[in-house]
Amino acid sequence: MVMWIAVTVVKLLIYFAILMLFVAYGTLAERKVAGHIQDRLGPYHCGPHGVLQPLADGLKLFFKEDIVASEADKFLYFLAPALAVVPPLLVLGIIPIGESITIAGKTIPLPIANINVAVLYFLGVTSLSVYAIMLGGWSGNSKYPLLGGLRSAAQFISYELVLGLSIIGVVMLVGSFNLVDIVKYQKDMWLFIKQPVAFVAYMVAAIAELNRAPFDLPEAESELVGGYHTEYSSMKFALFFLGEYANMVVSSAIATALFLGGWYAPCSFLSFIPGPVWFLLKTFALFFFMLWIRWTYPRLRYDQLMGMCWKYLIPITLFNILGTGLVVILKAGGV
Amino acid sequence: MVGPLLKGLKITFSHLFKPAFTVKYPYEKIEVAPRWRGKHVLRVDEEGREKCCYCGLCEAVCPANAIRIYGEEAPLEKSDVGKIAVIYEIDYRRCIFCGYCEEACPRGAIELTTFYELAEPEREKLLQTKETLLEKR
Amino acid sequence: MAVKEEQQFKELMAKGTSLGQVDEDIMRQNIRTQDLWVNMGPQHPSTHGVLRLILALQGERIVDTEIVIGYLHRGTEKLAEARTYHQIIPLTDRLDYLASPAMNFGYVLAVEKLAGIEVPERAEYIRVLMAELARISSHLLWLATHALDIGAMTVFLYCFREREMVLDLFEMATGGRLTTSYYRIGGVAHDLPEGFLDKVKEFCEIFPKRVQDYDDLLYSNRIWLSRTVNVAKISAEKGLALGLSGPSIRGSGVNWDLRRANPYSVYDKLDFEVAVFDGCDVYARYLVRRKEMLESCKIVKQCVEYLEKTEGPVMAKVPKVFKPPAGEVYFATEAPKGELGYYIVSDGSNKPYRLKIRTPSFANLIALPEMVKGQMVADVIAAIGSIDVVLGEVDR
Repeated sequence: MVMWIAVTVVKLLIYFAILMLFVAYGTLAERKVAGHIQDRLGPYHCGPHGVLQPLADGLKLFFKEDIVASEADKFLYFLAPALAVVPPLLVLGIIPIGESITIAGKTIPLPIANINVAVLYFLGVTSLSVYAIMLGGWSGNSKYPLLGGLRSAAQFISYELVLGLSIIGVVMLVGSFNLVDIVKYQKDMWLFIKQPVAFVAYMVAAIAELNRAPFDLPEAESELVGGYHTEYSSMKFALFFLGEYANMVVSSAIATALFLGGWYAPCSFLSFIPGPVWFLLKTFALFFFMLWIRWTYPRLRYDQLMGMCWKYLIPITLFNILGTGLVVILKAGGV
Repeated sequence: MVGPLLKGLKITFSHLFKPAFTVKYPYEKIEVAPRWRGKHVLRVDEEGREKCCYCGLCEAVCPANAIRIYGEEAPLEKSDVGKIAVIYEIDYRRCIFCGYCEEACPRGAIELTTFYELAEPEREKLLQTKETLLEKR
Repeated sequence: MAVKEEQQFKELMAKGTSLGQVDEDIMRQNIRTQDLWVNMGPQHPSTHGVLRLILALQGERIVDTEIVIGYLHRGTEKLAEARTYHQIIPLTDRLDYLASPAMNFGYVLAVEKLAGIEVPERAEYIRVLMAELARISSHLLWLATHALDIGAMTVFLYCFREREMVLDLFEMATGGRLTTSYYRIGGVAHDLPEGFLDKVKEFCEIFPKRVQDYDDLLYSNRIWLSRTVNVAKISAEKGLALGLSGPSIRGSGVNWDLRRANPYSVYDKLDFEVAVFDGCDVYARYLVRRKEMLESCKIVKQCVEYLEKTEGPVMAKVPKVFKPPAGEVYFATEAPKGELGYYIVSDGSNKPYRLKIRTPSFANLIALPEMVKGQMVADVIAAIGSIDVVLGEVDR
């Protein structure tokens, strides 16, 4: 028992460190990718090619004056940034970065918590992150953040639905909510080949849930100045940022597990590279895809975003479920 | 519907590997055109005499009233026409770098150079006097 | 309110309505919705400087818009009364600081008309060349910021890359990048430097290809279309009544370009098409400016052709102390943003008695409330972008 707790704590620390590193260098990657896409260099001053930039950013944000809006609802105002970081950290526990490793004759499962309802847990926990944005928008007692908060509430509720519906197809094929089972199912063929529609719908919904461009309406800096975080500064602002990037990483990781075959190598002759490396590589590929999208497209309008969700994505995912259901029944021997 | 969206992705991806268009400014300096209107210089002739003969045209033509000039009689070894500007001040808090002073000057005494790093940490330092303006030989 | 509610309560109770029903009735009478007043600007990332809008919103829909201007007022017209005719040229640079040659152009043409000065043809061609380059640079900056406002951040830097090339050309010929002060009464300050025309030709070669880049990112992009088509519409009649000019009115299908309608300088000798689209919306205005950039490129090419073949003076004989005859003059040119008019009253001295500037942005801005009525907050941003205001010009 003591051994088990010790191992879990060590795993937690390692996972947390990986996530934070990923987040820190995610911000740098964002700026570098943006820079190179736009024919410039991005951060260059701190360290060779700006590799120390995340540290500099962190220090700067840490030492910045912490301004509290005078008319703010203090409790909620302080609560919101904290809430922004919690959901991705909670999801961290279920990410199946690999199956298991053997150290000194002992087999240690790699996921921190191998739970049977991992997918439901993921959906439940990520839907909490809307509270951070809504409360952040509300508590500042300012108009732009309020508009941002309102937008995010509507956006989250709609896209939560798409997210859930797109995963159902996968769950139907695998017959399990367990992420490790889902990854194991993909040993021979990745699920995004069997479920392309669900994959696209998942990615769109994930980007929308993360408030990333082109769906970054709650912050929309050219319309709502900064949206929900307009009234925040210093580390509170940084926490929102941290939450956003951590969410991106976690969403990419879950998508990797659900659709891209988790820790399995794309082809068998590449399987000498360990599973966790593959997992991180795939996660980074999806992360990069999100950056790439952001620097390519204009922003949708609020009503158009809702229209896209309810008029297109939800019917499409419902049809996907119907189709998957038919296939599953026919394969099982039919009616 | 999807076609143009994919084309956009293609364009941005192709730029990812193109060389940057920007200049790493503090490390690399930009070459400016010879006609660049930068910091002023008061020219001196071959014998080291100031070319300026205090005619006051630059002061009169300046649209921003940035130039203050005051002159006195001077011996011939200091000026070939016997007049010299004792005070020549250009206030860079007012100057708009239009180049009219250079155009108005009948003797080519004041010119705008290609020097462009004019920022100062204190406002007072922006007042250019004869010491900072006079050409060094 | 409380007293009123109590009274209503008593009245309803007297009628014998049930308690639950009473509560509901009182709520229905007393709960009202209220417009949300949002102050957009003068410090806002998308109001292009210091424009301030007061928006009345219902949800995200615009009910009412009020424009507040004057944050960049520098008293150009009054300052001009204390400057000689030559000294006013740098002032005009600072009206529309994104296209200063075009601003100079209108002013010197007005003064030349007042004084009856004949300008050498070479100078005229140089002026047109510079003015059209300014139009390209101004439209590039417009496209950049417009795309940025709508969220396409990459287009912003691509446009700046090409604008940089134009600014380099300005720098080469005039010594200034933004406030060029190149035009003079009776001609231009200097002849073009050596190698300038080759560089211009090079730019004209590259530029249409680069426009293709922007097109790939915007022209038929689904998201761009949904953000611009049928957004911030204004009909031709309404637009004319409000005094719209330039690309803003040509996007409503009115063929009104002063370069064609009332040719000045050498525009009657040049071959170009006036860009007119009749969508009346943000997208149509985008198409107009996009085409204008390409047409300007054509004009620039023709100017280069002429300038390569000919030599000659670039300044007319104008006395050093310039005193135009007493009288008054109005001269309008087609600046990148629309009709730019200078009205000069001269009393025969070396300074104008009065200088009135009709700036296109100021007149175009008045159409904004009309455009955005009933639209969403995000459309206000698109609308501001689509009429291309420069606050230096609005406030003067």
